[in-house]
Amino acid sequence: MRYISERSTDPGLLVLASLAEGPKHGYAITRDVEAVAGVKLGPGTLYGALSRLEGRDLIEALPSEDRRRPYKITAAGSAALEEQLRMLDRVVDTGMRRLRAAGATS
Amino acid sequence: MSARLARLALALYPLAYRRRYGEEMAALVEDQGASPRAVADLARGALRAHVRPEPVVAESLGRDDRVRLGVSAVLLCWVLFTLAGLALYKTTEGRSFEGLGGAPGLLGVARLVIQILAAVGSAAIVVGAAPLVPAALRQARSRPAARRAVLLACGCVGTFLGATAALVVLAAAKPGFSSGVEALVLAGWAMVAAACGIGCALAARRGLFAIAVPRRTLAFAAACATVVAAAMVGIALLTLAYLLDLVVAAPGLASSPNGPLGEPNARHSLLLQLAVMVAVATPAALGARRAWRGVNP
Repeated sequence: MRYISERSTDPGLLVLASLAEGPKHGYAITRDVEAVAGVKLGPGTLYGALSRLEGRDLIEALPSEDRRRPYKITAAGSAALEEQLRMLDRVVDTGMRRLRAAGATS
Repeated sequence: MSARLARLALALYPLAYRRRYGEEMAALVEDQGASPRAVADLARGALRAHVRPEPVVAESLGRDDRVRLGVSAVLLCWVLFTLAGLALYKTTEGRSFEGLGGAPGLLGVARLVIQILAAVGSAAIVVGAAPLVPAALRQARSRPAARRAVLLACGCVGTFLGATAALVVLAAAKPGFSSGVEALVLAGWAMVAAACGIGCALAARRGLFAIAVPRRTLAFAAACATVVAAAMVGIALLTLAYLLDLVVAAPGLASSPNGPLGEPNARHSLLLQLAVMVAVATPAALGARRAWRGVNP
């Protein structure tokens, strides 16, 4: 399983997508992202993303459970996730169409 | 081993991050396992948190803690700056440099003002620490963290005094060492002194966070730290002026062999010392600014 960094995929998007299912703490987020996207979020990358998302009010921390604090997506976070996913959807559509067109002409 | 490295990498995060996310991150490392990649990821995250801190997290620190952080950063920078200052003193000692010191113009003035600023900075450290040391000693009885800080500081001071006494005894005995061995002995003492200085600065930082200090005393410490940082910036600028004037006024002396083994020459030595001074004075100035922001947000 490869790690992703800030440079490859946006960890914030993966975290938001994971939290769209419901509140999760750090380890549960990494497990979910690993299962869904096939990449492993390192602890530094995950908490860098969590701090940025929290700073932009896209997620919020819930009361701690033992040493593990769950996070939940906010309404602004849901809207931001939806906007990003729509944009990605357009990119995927366009990219696939262009690839098919290129394959047909070659 | 990796678990220890992971704890170390976690300790590299800024205080505000450790307070906000430290426990959770430690729990995640335990759950995920402290692999070398996880350690590298933590180290990268710590670097990023220092370089581009998230404002919400950075501002979550209380005003008093900002002062504590700023003041202790300035103190640590002063210790490191002193090493470059001592090197400057060693580089420019000797008859030929002393002759220049008495010369009219920028060269003589720069050397004199550097010494005055060094004395002002040292005095500001002593004056700023004056109300804090008795408070730490008083509270060490009831606060284990303060007690550990006091013991660490005492250990460092004791080690420094012991090493200095050994050096003085050795010098008085006049063993007739070659200049190379003399330089090694002096370098050994300087390394012990540097380690003790850094240890004292770290003890002061731990002590500052472990004891209760009135805001007025913290504000006074922030003012003293500002004087220290200003002295560092002033010394760095004057060292630059000294270096430039030395190259123009006494090019032969500037390129003359310097240091225990005759290398590098005086110009290169001064350039290296200047680089260290700038590298240390910059975070000191930022630390003083942070301390003032704690006093006057």
